[in-house]
Amino acid sequence: MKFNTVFLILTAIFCLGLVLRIVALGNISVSLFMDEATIGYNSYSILKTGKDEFGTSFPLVFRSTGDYKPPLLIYTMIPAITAFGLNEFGVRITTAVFGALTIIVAFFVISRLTKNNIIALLTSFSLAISPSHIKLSRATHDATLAFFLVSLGVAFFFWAIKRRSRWLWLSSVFFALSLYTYHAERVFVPLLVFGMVIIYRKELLGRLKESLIAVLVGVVVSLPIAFGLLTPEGQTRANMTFLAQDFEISRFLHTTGEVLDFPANLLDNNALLIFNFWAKRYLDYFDLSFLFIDGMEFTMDKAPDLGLLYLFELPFFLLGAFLVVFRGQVVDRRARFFIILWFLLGPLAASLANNEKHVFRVMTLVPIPQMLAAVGIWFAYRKLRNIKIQKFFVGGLGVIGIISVLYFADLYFLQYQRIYSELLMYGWKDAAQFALSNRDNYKEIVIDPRFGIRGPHTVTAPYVYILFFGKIDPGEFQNDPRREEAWDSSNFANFTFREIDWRGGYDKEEKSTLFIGSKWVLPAKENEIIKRFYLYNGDEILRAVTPK
Amino acid sequence: MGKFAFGLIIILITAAILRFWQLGSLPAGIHYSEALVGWRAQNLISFGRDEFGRSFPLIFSSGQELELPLTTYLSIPFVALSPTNPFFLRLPFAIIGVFGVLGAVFLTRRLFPEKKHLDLFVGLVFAVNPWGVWLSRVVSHEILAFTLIIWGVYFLLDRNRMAYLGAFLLILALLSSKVSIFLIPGLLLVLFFYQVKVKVLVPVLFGWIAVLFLLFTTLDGFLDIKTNDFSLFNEVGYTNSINTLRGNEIYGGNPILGKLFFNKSFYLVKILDNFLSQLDPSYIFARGDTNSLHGISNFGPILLVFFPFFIYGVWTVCNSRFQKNTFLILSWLILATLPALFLVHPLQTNKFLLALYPLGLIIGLGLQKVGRLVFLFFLVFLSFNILFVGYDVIGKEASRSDKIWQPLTLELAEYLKTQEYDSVWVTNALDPNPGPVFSYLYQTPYFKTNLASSKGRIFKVWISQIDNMRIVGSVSTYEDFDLLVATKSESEQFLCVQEINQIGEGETKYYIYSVLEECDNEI
Repeated sequence: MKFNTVFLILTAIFCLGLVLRIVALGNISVSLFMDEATIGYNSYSILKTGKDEFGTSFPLVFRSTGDYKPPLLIYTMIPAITAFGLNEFGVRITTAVFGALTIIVAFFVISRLTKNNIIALLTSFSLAISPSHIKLSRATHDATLAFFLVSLGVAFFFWAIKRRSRWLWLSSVFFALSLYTYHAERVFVPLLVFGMVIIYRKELLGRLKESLIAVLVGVVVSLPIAFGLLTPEGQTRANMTFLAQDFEISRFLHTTGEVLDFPANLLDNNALLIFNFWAKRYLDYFDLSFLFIDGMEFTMDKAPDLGLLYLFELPFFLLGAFLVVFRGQVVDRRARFFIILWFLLGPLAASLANNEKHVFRVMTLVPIPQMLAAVGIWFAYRKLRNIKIQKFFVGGLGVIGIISVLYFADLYFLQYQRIYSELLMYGWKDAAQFALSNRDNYKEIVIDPRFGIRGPHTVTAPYVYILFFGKIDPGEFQNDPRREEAWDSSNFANFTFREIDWRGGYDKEEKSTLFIGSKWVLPAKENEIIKRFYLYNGDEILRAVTPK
Repeated sequence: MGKFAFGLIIILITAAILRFWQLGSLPAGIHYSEALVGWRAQNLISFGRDEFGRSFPLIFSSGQELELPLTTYLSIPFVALSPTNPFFLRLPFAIIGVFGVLGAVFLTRRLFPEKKHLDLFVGLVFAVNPWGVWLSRVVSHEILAFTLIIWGVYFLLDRNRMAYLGAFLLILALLSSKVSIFLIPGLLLVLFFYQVKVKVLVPVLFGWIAVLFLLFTTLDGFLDIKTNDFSLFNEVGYTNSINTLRGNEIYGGNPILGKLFFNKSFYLVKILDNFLSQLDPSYIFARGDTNSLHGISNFGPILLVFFPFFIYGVWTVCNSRFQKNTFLILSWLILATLPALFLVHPLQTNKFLLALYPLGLIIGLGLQKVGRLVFLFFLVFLSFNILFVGYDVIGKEASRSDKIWQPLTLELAEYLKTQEYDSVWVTNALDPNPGPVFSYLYQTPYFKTNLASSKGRIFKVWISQIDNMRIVGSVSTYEDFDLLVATKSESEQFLCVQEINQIGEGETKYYIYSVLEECDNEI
């Protein structure tokens, strides 16, 4: 295929991917998730003051809501927030663009691996319309940027070793930067790079000087984050989300100090129990139902859903896996090992964390499944010798593809938003805007962080929504004297964030206070309810109340 | 002694140890469907009638679904030896399990005579894996069907008269478990392409039709098949969810899209989902079926240590020339997913048991390719894996699955045997169906029980009365009892009872009360 044709098709695919990632970006998802608001406000805070919300100058780990976020995305978002302001579109556009750019990088990676531009284009197309990647790119999530950087690292690695270029160190830079971006990469990238070094050792040893420079650059760029991870703050997230914390296994583990006899020490120790549990979690990610039928969880249990890839890609994925992994066709021996390595390492970090089948954490698997599906399509097309049948195949696939994308769009843009608006924390924007517009009318505004229709489904950080939608001056927030009330205090001005005790009677007496909380937190009389806030599906989620 | 014979003996001894050791007490307790088979066998021996008073019927009811007859009739001689000993109740299935291992070795030898040691590797997979071991240690229709099918296919592949024995064994398999009804028609087709003579296959086909006829002519046959084997189509959750999604579409202004995207074609996706779920490596090698009636609830049906060799085996299959043996293995694997294909909860290892042979064969192909040193390392890891699983099963499985195996009920029955009271009330709060266990252990004649069936369905049986013992859903109203077996909270409403014993440990306990004579027991 001619270069110009490839370029044109790739541009078209990129445009399609970009459109799917930015159309109605400010409105869908219908609600800004807590992490999105936090990341956005911290970015805004750095832009305005050079400090995070806690007053730390240019931190390498953002304390945020206690989950100690990696820094790179927050810094990367500054230009977009400068350009578009602190709003939903402004905080989402960065990842949407990086998501779209990944489509191009994936083309180069797969093109190098397969030496086949058609397969690379098909992979890019599959990624452009991928339900999981679109959903990820439309959310302000570190994984999108991390995945972009990893892909770029791999692309530069292949480019450098093929061209015998001195720019190999750039690959190291991108790999190292990915460590600043998302926790999963901290497990995935070192192992992937180690595997790549072993597989392509011949080329690397042949250019020893460049290789050593690349290693040196990689180490130097990684050092700050490596040291950061050794601090208690740096380890917080890992400790919080490690597999052993999962409810399914934690209750069966032996406690510290528990005395075990010899057989128990040998056959029932915690390491073995965790390993056995980890094996389940790891293998879960290779469940084809998860990958192709219901992994996205756009709808409720027992309802039609969508996998990380489209169902129509399944037979081609199987064919591609058969050809590439088991038969060693299409790619050379080392590319085959590299693909297998990537495929096996992809779910590793996700499986070591405490949630079952986590879509975002397993993004490290992409674009290998897409590539295998692309190989399957390409191979099937080649096997059809009759031109009419080939045209029919392409046309049929196109129609199925369009229907699949429409189905995805329907599930994501409508169904998911209505079914899961509670999960998306819908309602906080309205409540925050109401509180901000009434802040001068009350002595104190108390907001309860417990959130959920029927009970404390989750504990949120409502202060973030007040800061975000009020565009509160970060300097004012950082220096507010009420922040000193407790170690984790987010109270400022006349805003207080705590659990409301309406039934106990104490809060009921605060006549000049506005209370905002879930309806089961505030079982107030009808005349005390000033405003109700509703989920996207119309159910009441929050209410503003003042005692009478 | 040759290498093959030596290897075979080692494998059979291992298989026998894993199946016979503590057979009566592991699984700890007894499941009501096992007890029902034992009790039925007692009644057939003593009175020539089953629990419903029918004379030597061909279709039974397990308490959950209709049951084919071979399991019960096979149990009779063993129950006759020791009527109330769970060891003897389970013994025929343990023996059958060992025969299954032997059958797998010989079938592989026949299918792949050129593959060195493959037969023994397959035998090893069969001998040690929780799948085969656990289902051989309980009253299992599936292990019986599975073994008969293995031997049936082995003889069918014979070019002489023994092929008729194979056909006979397949017919027996059809009389053992409903899973064979799903598998055998497809298997016959595959064997036809495998050039097995039609005249040998035809009797099996007739046998299949006859068994179907037998099932459908029973009172609840159709209902049973619909409820238990095609539950996917009865699940109201699917209809509700589709209606919800359509409602959302109406709200979004696209009612037509709702009808286009969310309709009955979803069942096809669910069937595909069920198919893929059964072939999920996590299910087969790690997670398994969490119902401990079908396997060990913390592990996959095949030990994790075999997983790399399974992948290697797949690799081998993919890289070898496509032969009719490959066709047989793959077809068998696909057919084995059929029994659970139409279920709401398809991950039931007992229904998927017939896949053990093709999976074992693939693992065997992987093992066959490795060098001696790797194999030695594998044996070390395998031993450790068996010990790890064994330790877990002995120490934890009983507490994980006490609702299923009812060890407390066994203990309670032993205790009540020693008591003499006119009227005993027993709660079923700790055990959903204790009746069959009491009936089996007390050798109660069928006419001394009150066998209830819900809504006229005889395959949903529940025993509410055994002689002078009454089993009640919840002990909450006063009637004239002399001895009360209840939970602590249930007993609190009775004023005039006196605790005389407790059965069990920890939080789950039966409390036993006698009635105080001086006052009435009103709530």
